[in-house]
Amino acid sequence: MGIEYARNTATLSGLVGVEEAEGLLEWLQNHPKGRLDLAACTHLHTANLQVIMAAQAKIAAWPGDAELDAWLRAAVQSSRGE
Amino acid sequence: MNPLLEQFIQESRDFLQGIGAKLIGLEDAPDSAELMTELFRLVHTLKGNSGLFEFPEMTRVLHAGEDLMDAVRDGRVGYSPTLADQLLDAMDFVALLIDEIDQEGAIHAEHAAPSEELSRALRALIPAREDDGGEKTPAAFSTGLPLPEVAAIPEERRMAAWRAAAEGMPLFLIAYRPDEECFFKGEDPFHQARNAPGLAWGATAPREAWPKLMALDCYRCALDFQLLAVVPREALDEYFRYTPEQVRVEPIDPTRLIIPAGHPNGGPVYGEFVAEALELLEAGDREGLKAHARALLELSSPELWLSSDLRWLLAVLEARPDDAPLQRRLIEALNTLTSPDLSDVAERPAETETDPAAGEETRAPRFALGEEDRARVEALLVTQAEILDLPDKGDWLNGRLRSVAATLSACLANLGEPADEIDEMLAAALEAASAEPLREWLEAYLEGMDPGAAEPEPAASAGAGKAATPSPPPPSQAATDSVATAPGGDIKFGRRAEDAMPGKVLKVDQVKVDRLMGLIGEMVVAKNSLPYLANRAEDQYGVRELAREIKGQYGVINRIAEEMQDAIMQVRMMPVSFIFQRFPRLVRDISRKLGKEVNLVLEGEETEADKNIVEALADPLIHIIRNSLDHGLETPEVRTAAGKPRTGCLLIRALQESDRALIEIIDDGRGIDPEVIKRKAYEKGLIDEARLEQIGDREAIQLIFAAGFSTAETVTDLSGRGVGMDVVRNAIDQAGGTVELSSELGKGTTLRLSLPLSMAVTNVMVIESDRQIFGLPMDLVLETVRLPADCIRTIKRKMTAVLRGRIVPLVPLNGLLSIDAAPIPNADGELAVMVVRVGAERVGLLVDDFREVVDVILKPLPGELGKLACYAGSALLGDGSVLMVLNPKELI
Repeated sequence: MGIEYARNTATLSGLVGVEEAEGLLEWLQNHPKGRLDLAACTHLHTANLQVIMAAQAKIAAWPGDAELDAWLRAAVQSSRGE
Repeated sequence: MNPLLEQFIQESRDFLQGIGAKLIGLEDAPDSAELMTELFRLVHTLKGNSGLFEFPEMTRVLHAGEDLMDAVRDGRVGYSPTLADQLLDAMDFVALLIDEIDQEGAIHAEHAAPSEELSRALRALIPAREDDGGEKTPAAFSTGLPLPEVAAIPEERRMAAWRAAAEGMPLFLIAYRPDEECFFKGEDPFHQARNAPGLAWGATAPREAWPKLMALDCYRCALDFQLLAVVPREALDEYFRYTPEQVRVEPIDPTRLIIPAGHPNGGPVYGEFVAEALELLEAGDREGLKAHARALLELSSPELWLSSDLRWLLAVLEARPDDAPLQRRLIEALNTLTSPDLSDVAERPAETETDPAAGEETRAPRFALGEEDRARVEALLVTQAEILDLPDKGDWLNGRLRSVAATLSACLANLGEPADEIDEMLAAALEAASAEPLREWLEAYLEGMDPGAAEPEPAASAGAGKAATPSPPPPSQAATDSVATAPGGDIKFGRRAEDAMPGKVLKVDQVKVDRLMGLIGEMVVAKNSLPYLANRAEDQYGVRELAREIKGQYGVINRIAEEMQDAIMQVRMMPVSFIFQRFPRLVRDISRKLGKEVNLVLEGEETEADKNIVEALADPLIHIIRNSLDHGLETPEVRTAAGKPRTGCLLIRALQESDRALIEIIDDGRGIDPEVIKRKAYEKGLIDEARLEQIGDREAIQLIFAAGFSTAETVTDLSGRGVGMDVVRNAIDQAGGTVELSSELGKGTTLRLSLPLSMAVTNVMVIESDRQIFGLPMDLVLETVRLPADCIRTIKRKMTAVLRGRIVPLVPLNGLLSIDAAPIPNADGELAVMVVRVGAERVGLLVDDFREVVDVILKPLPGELGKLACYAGSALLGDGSVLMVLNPKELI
């Protein structure tokens, strides 16, 4: 599992490993308006998390995993400077 | 427990002893660079060893010790007794850990904190180097990590955690700052945080403001994690045991979670509710109070501060129905719509670094009041007395009395005294509607507390130094920790040098064992003289009775001597795994270099043999493996083409067969082509043309053992220099072993080494020739036969005989030894032929007579005699005579 990049949406699914972080960062650098679909994501490595936070990426779909959802919402919120 | 760990424990004990000795030695000679270097080496090695296992606690302390020693060695720190004390303490701790590993096979997680503390103490002795601003000791900063803001935690999370904590679970705030480079160590801090035990809440935030996205280094961890966990401390220590320096875990009081929050709408409107609620509380009507609160809650918007407070009230009513003071505070708070000060209803003293404005007078930890805090409490008591002195009137008297009583209880609790009396006094005061009973009690108490009269409380004096430290551990922790922090900050581990238990394993110089071996050898020889004695008693003196008794005694001594010999052999025995263990690496490296794929299988590693034998095997085996890999196994392409699996198989198997150790090296490579061998041997001049014609395939492949033989087309750095198999054979010969080679072209090669288990006692057969006796090693003797003279044929002036369908050349021993005498046949005209194995051939030695087989200690011939290769050595026989043992390989 990992990340699938479409034109304007990156879909993260399952367990997104550390090796995906570089690609995600690059994609977000090139697609500042890119949106992330996390619905099928169960866990993402810290490296991905911090890329999402730093990019203040738009979230198209929040994770189905309630716990991850809570973490992510709080994290994204805090990185937007509240 | 696996042998590696056992060895580690043993070695570590030795190291610790060495470190202790060196440290003590340094006290006398603090400038000795030699001792210092040795000490560093010991600590360094011990650290390295501990890193092989999962003992992070031990490695951490040793690492700090190593750094400190390094600094001392470089002269950055001077040696001092304090330093030695600190190091000795650390080593005591390590010894404690080793004992624990020895007994239980693992280290408890509870040692993580002391280990961290010790390593910090050690590092504290190292002055920061000016030139390494970046390389700060990572251990230092975990205590400085900011803890999560309790108020920032969502209410429902806090409430859930509070409920769990109300049932008695300890509650912890955790700040976790992963190492920046942690991704490269395979860590995933987010995963670590999400899966923390007892996690009630967690959040993450960047350490610093994010850089521009273009400048972001996604592989450098920039996140901090903050967690709230309801779980026993040990579980957290265990969970974060690998990175304790990145984690700050602080216990917090559950009541600190009770922070109502929301829109401060409403206000005094609810005054009525408060009054009613207080009445219900007074009356002890919890159900009524609950219903009342619920009703108001339903009417109010959930966002309001009021609603939040009510929710908390309900939660408290449910989880702690008897905690009236807490409930009262929550109700009363509705009057002001500000968070109630719950610090004095806390069951445990809260952390000192919390908001100092909130009830600081009573916040001091109850077990360690400093002078200052004590004075403050006293002032507080005096104030209460003043309040009580106010005229008693009005409706608020009851409330005032209760509040004074609550304050007094809290003060007493912090002074470590029972507060039962106050409750009694309060009851009396309420009944009389007067402050008198309380006032009297307080006056009496204050008199007793007079500085002059007050007996110093034990905790107060000890705590004086303690109060200066920012976060004293709560009493519960100090009490439960087996490794307690004693007053004054010393770390003791309940373990002193005199507790050290000596290990069960002895390390003995090999010379001593060899001496024992020599002595038991003499014993065997001496014992062998008893049968001679018995014979003499019977034949010479005719005392048959005595002869029988001597023989009986001989049996007993014989048994004991054999057991002794066996026991000493056992001491010298070593598993072949000692040499096998380097093979996986060797095979891996060589096969990489050759571009071959090899699957190495080791079997029978536990097979034991004498230390000398095992050691003698090492080099030959390495030669053999190299040869197998280089010449035997093919490259994957060749193998696939030949219809074999890509990966070749190299099997090294050790087994014991009676009194010999067998080692087989089997590969499934291309095998040895006898034709190629023959041609090569001929080219190199090892065999002549005639032999080239007549040599059989089986014999031909044995030519690879000939000196100077090489088949490789090109000389590689691995093999092909013509040094190899002959060296192998010689080495094995010297160890008293034999090599057998069989090979099938295209299928593979098998080498079989057979070695004696021990070299100490040799089994020899005694023979007679020209009225002299000689010995021949039994392992070379194939059979002894008596041949009638007419069975011996002479071919080209050489005597031969056909034995079991094979032509065996016969050689008179006298001729070989240049004794001018013919073999003497027995009464029936038969000649004694001893068939011995010489290399791969059989030779019949013509002797005069066979004698018995004896166990002897073979001693090499001394000095110049040692150059006589035809003798393997000499041995002393039981009757005192010297037996020369022949070496047929050289002889023939």
